[in-house]
Amino acid sequence: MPVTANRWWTIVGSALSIACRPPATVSSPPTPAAEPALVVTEIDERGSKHQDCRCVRAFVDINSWVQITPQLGNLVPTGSPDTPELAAARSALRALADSLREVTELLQPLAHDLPVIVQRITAAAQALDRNPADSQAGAELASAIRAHGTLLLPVTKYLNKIDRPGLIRALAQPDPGYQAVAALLRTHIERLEQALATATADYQRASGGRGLRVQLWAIHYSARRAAAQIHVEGYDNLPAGDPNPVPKLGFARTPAEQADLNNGMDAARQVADIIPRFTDITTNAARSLDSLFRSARDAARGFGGFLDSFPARATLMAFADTVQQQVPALARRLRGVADSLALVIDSLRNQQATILRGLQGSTDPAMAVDVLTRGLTQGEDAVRRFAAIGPQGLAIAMQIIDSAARATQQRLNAELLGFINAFSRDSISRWKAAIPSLHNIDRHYQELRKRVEPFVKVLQLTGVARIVGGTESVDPTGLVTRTAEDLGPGMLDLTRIEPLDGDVVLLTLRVSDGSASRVLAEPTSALRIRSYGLHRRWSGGLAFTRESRTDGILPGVSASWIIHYRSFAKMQPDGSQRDGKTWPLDFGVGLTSVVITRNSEVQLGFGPVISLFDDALVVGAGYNLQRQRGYLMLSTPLLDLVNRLSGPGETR
Amino acid sequence: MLILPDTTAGSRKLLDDAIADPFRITMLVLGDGHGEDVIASKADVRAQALASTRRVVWIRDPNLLTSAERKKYMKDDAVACVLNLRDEPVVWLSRSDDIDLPELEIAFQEGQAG
Repeated sequence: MPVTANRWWTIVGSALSIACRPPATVSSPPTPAAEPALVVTEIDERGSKHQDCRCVRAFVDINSWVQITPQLGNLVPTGSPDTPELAAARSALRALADSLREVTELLQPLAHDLPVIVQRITAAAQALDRNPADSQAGAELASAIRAHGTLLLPVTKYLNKIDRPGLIRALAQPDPGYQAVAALLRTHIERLEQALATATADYQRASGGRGLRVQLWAIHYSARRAAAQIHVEGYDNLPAGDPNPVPKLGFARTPAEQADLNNGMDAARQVADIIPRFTDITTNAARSLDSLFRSARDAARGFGGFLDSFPARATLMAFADTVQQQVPALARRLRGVADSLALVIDSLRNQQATILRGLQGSTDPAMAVDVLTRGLTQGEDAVRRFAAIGPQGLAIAMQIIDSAARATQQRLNAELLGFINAFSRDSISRWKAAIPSLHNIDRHYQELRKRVEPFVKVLQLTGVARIVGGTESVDPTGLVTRTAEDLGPGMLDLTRIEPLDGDVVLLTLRVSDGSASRVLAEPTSALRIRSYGLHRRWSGGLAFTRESRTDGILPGVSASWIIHYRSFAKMQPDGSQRDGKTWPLDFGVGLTSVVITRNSEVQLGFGPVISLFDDALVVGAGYNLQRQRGYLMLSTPLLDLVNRLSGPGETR
Repeated sequence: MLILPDTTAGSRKLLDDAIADPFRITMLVLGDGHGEDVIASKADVRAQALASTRRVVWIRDPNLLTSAERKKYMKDDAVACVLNLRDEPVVWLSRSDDIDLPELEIAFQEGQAG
């Protein structure tokens, strides 16, 4: 079936099954299966445990903890029973593994981040030597000095505690790179690794070398980052990372989100810079946009024709009416948002001079967004107010829609049965009439792909279409081998892995025999990371704007803050999980856009946007604060778009 | 290291300039006679690790300070005090502490972080 048709079915499906949040439950683990398996239990940000899932594919919230319980099934352990010696050896192993992780976590930033911070300090200090009034350099220096102190403080305190004489020797020379300190830390890591190897051997000896050996590891796959192994507490010695929960409704961004936004905007900026140099491409782009709208409209009409021929049309239309009745309630809430936004706009207008001064001399959209974001912080309270009152109204509306959806489903089932019973030659002709609509949808989809191709070519030309990630294999390291007698749940803290909505974590359980030379079973389970409930998403991309009272379309860069909603994943009767649904039209509210004109002049615009197709297309209106004119905008996140066009990969 | 040997107006001006420098973490070493010279010398070694942003000022005669400053910088009989970038005292090292290179380094780092 063509993908566009799929999309429409998804929209209808979403409307039919908008799910409410399932009650948090504390459940006992499922009955052990015959085969080894992983049981996944999500613990959400409020600390509530959700239903256990022995799923090959599970869905978890982006800010959750995941408890992973290995089950060995019929691979009954044959090792000796637990003894005091074994318990002592196990405690020693755990203590050593914890210490090793603690020290490794200290060394990593010292090796990777310190040189960068020292370089920042040097550069900022030199800039201040040249011009002591350079406030930007002053702020950079202060920030780098703070980072330097924050990074080194735990290292120095730790070494002072465990090896004071060694630390005094390491600090006796003024070494800007703190290389002697790092070397001291490495020495301790080597000692701990050696002690851990000895303790592991002792443990294996104490356990008689028999029984099952169990390893568990997790690999994090992200669309635009290289795949990497991540820490599972209790099963490896990798650094845990710092907790960094994704703020679901604020303006702040996690480092991963910031990097993603910067990448998207950098790509868009490169393309926006190139487009004016290629008149043909610009013309085609404008035509493509027109065709895109036309095709979508035609496809919608075609689908409408198909819907007309559907025997259960009346039932669906009744449901649509119910949804429509709820729209005013939703609209009222959105008007509340619009009022709040109007306040923000007024505030921004007042700050226009300040913002423009901040932007002068800088053509870097990322910096411009930062300046704007600071201004927008004032609006955050207004949006929070919406967040406080909005969900309640929305929840009631959604509840009504949900109940109507259930009734509709029941009626559809009955009507489908009736339709099958009454199947006749007449009904075949009605279905035949719908087939051209399906062909039209396919044709329009192919047309859309063709029209978007110039963009993809431009992206390939500029090299921004380079996609990292995917399915490259990662060899697990730092694993702790556990015995069947010592088997316990592992814990994965998603807030420490810098996740993005749509990422995947692949869990692998390896069960080997006593000598660990023969693998008996290696089941896997994929965790799909989602943002559930009301949440915001930052989207950076290539924007095309048309200003009022002017001709032509200008390419630019946009950054949008969009509110989405996804209902929670649900357990199916067969034990699998079904992902939550998004709002039927993925609509949201956007706040920002940055416009770069053909003569490279940076202009700043601001206004509401609506997101379609999961941010693949963002349309909106805005107000150019510099030229004081309204404009219409259409934006698309380039990297995400290329991802979707390049292959079947994971979609959000 | 800036050594202020006396209570003259010149020393006072140098001290004011050092404290007012908005881009340096300043460690004041206060007094002369109970090992302060060793502390100042070791502190200077740690200051050199980040020479562009750390500085040691050895005030040999605390009478150079006003009484309010003495109360602020010499809290709990402190022999050294670290000022952060906002010129606020954030770390005090007492005479009774075992002051060596690690304590001085930690004091500088706490001054940077705070």
